[in-house]
Amino acid sequence: MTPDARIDITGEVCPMTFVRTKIALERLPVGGVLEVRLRGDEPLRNVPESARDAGHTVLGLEKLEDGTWRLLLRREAGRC
Amino acid sequence: MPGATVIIGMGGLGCPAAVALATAGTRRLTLVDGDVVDTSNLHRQPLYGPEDVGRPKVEVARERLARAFPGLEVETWKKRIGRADVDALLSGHGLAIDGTDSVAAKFLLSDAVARTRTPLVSGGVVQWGGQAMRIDPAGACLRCLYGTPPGEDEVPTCARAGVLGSLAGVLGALQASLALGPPSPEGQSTLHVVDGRSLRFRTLVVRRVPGCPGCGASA
Amino acid sequence: MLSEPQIQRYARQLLLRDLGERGQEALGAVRVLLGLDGEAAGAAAAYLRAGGTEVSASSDTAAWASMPPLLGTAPLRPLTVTASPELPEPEGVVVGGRGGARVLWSVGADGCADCLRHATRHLGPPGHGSSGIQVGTLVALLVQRRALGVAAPMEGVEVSAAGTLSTLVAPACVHRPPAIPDDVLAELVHHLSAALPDEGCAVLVGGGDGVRLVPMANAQDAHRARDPEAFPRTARTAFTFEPRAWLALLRTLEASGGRILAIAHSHPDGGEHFSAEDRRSAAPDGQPLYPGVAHLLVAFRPGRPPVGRWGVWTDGDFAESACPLPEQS
Repeated sequence: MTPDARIDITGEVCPMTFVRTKIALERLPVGGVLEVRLRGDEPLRNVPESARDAGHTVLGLEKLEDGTWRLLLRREAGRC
Repeated sequence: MPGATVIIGMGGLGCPAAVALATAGTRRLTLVDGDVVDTSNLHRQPLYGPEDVGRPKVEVARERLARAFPGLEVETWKKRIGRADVDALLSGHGLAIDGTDSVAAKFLLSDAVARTRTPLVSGGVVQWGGQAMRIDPAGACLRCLYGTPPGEDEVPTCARAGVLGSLAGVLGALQASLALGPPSPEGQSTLHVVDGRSLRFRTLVVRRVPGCPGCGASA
Repeated sequence: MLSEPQIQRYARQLLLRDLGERGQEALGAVRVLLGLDGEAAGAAAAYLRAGGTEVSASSDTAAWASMPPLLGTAPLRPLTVTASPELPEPEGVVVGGRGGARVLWSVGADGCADCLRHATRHLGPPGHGSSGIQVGTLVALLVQRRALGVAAPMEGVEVSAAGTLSTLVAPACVHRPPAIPDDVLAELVHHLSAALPDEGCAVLVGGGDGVRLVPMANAQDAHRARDPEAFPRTARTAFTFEPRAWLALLRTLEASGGRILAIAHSHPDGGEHFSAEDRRSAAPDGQPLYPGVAHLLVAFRPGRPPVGRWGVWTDGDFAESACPLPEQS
């Protein structure tokens, strides 16, 4: 799946991890797909859950060779 | 400071509480906080400005309060409250205000009320909502209200770390009003609930639970 | 789009539901004209600026850090904060005093100025007291809600002398006509034209399932037949509801929780304004018989489309306004 936008939050700590994710999602049209590169236990636990809490859909989460993770989110309707 | 008011946590709740108390004529305050000012604090802790980032919160707060209220005496403790010093801290003061940001700290303070006989105004804000409750030695405590505290392993999501600044201001100012007001009637406390999203304000009476591990054991 | 310094400064606010990047920009798009003084003004200005809203005020900031908000573009939308008896225009917050309590009302551009005037008519100036910080922080909250677009057309808070907060709910607006959907209006015109050449009448009710028409029969002629002295006019120039039908309607509404929005009748002779008789029937001693109920008139003119007119009793006066009617098929 080709995402409409990509962000890399491997250098961020909570809660900036989700702040960046939320802003990127909000900038997409409804239905748009965002790819998020993240690293670490806390972001891994929190970012997908926070995205779901905000009403968006987790399309997939996969571990990459270098130990980081690739999270795919779909922007849904409603206020962010 | 015997008889003085201690504010534990000089963040979103502690800042407005301190200003409200000083405005109302409180002459002696003790401020407790181990943190330094961070950029992410500025939107909801208006005692601190961009030029204060990196400085200990209690130092900045003391400077601003002392300048604005010439008759005010301010003592500071640059540390995070813990089990070892909570009793001494509360016993040494006439009244305490909870400006902490963790469940553990809130219950630590609540449990200390019955032991130290120092009234505490508990409080918390998250996202669009907040609560405040005055806990007197003869009143109901947090355990009467909640039973056991939520587990520490329930890590909140990053999203839940958001909070509306003005709402923290409303809660902190409310805590100060409750501190300045009369003690609760014996055997109960009043829980004030604020929902900033629906603009609903409610009060509920919490009755003391007999034998409560927080306040009932030592009577 | 927010800049990096803005994202850093407002990060913990951007996380909130209903307040993302767009919400933060909305906070910055508003300019607050603060007409309060004292501790309340200082607290309100401090919290609004901290949250990203520009405030024009004399800076008695006392203990607060003086921190201008980080803005993207210059704010365009004015919001005023006033002390009673002055009221905000067109939108903003008014603070007043009542006994030892402080009352705050917030009104939007979609709010009713008459409702605001009515709600604040007994308020005195806010005064100064130890609740100044409580008032100021509440002003900031109300202004931010208004700027974000999550506020009701009119909403309020009361702070008791002891500092307890309670919600104030604006009563249903009686100063402006209710909104009636076109299909219901079309149904009404159809029912009224069927009564021609007599005056037709009907009731418009609102409830959980929206607005609906309750057609009524004009019992004027039947009354006149029984008692010509008490009812000198005919159904050509007057209307009365059949009493049993009217009572049955009231009972139904009481059970279902609905309410009467408007009483409608027609002028078969084309008179486009409420007559003196109409006003006397609606308010026999100058007091509306049905407070909160609007009056709708449909004037039929031969060869031309019918014309609609609203009449609303407010503050002892009968205010008329046009009611556009949908095109008849």
